[in-house]
Amino acid sequence: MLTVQNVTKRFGSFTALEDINLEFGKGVYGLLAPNGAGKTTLMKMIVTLLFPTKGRILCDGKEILSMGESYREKIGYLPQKFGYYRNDSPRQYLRYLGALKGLERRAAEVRIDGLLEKVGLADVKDKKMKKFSGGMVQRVGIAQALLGNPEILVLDEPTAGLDPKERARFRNLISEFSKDRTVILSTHIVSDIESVANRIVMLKDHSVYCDTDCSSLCGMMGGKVFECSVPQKDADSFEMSHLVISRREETGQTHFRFAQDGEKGLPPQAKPVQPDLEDVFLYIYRED
Amino acid sequence: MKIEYPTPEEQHNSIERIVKYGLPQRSAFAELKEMFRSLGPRVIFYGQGDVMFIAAMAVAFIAYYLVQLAFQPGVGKVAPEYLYSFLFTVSPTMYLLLCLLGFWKEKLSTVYDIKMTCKYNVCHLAVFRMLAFSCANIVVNMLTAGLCCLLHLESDFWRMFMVSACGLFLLSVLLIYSLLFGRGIIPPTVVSAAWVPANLLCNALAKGTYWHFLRVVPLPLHIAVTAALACLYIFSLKWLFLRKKEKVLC
Repeated sequence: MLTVQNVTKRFGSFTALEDINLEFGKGVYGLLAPNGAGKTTLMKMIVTLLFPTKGRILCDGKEILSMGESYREKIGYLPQKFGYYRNDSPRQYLRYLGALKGLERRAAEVRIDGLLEKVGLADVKDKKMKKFSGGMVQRVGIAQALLGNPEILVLDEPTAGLDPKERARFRNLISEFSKDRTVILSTHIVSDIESVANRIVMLKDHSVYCDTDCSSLCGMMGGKVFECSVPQKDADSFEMSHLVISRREETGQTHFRFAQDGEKGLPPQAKPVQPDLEDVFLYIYRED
Repeated sequence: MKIEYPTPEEQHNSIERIVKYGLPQRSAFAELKEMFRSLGPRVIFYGQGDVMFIAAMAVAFIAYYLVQLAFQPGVGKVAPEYLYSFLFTVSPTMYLLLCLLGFWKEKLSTVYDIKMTCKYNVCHLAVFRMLAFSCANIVVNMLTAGLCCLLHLESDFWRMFMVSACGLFLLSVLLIYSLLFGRGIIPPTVVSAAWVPANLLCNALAKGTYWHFLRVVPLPLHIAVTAALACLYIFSLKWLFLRKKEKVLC
């Protein structure tokens, strides 16, 4: 169990996070917030790259900063900007990190081969990474995060650069991995979180806005999301007067998905629809 | 009879106490030894080839300069004061280049964040490398002193060696303290950049005292000062190894 207790992080006079309280048990936690909301700062504090200005982070009741290597042995981390040695092959790179993670050499070899198979890089495991596409590099990053078989996996934008097939593979991998572990992931691709996360943590104004499951979160928006079509000549004025989530042009008509509190001013042709996580995200952060 | 069962907190405290006193506590140097056994030199010095090449070139250049000095036509014997101040100033060159370029390489590396979350992180690697590089620099200093004797630039091998070792450990201590008490690698970079100008300034402004320390002070005193600096360096390294600090080297 990972506990974030009254954590505040300041950089000079700028407050990145204010009085954060969270508990992470087993399962997948999706961290959702717009850019600059403090997701990466929170993740960096969880992996001890940054220290809280106030408050503390506990792992099974012990403060993580005092645990040192016994805590680092428990974590796997994929940073937002994943770094690698361009002239290394994935196997060489993972061998190096495996040694730094304190893995026994033979066990590491078996684990590396298994992971490269799982992320779909088995056939290029001995090729230099400088020839890899962004998606392939990201998959090496995911493999390195899983290398030490961590109890706590922290992934910052893990699906960036992955195509839909690779994203599906990633979601399956995380679901399989998270059975008895804690996975904390942040992504801008809301659908990834929707399909894989057991709980969703949203940050707003440098604090925790909500910590709940996906269906409860979408339930908050029940009766507030609508769809309708308006003539194309009225589309711009409609967009100005409503909180539009999506807009699609059709023959002579513009189809809108929009959010609205109450039914005052609701177009007669508007139909209520089932809200999804993207609607919630756009509604909550409409002013950001 | 009812026996009070300890609360979970009491159980936890008892376990902590037993583990604390029951298990042997390993020193920082035992940890370093274990790290070397576990990682091996290939992993510890991974990606340091270019840095080592630059340092080796600098050492070769110093050796070439000394040979040039010895065989300069039409010039008499090199003044011992000049030779000692030169040795004192340039003796930590190899260590300085290896450490500083290594720090900058780690800072600029995109792998830094990942390495900092590993069991053996960048700090552990840096401490081990600093220790290894200072040992290598002592050997180079010994060879430099030997070369000076061979070239008949000066005959007092032990004084030359102690002067250069003193220079090495003085800069090492300054470098490590700037890392411990400064933030990031700008302070050690400033210390390194100031080393040669500071020596030149001492040479110009306090010539008498500076040369007296290098040339006249009895050898046992030199040995004592160098040994004290070496001890301070070792303790500071241990401190750096165990220190928990945000953004080390960054």
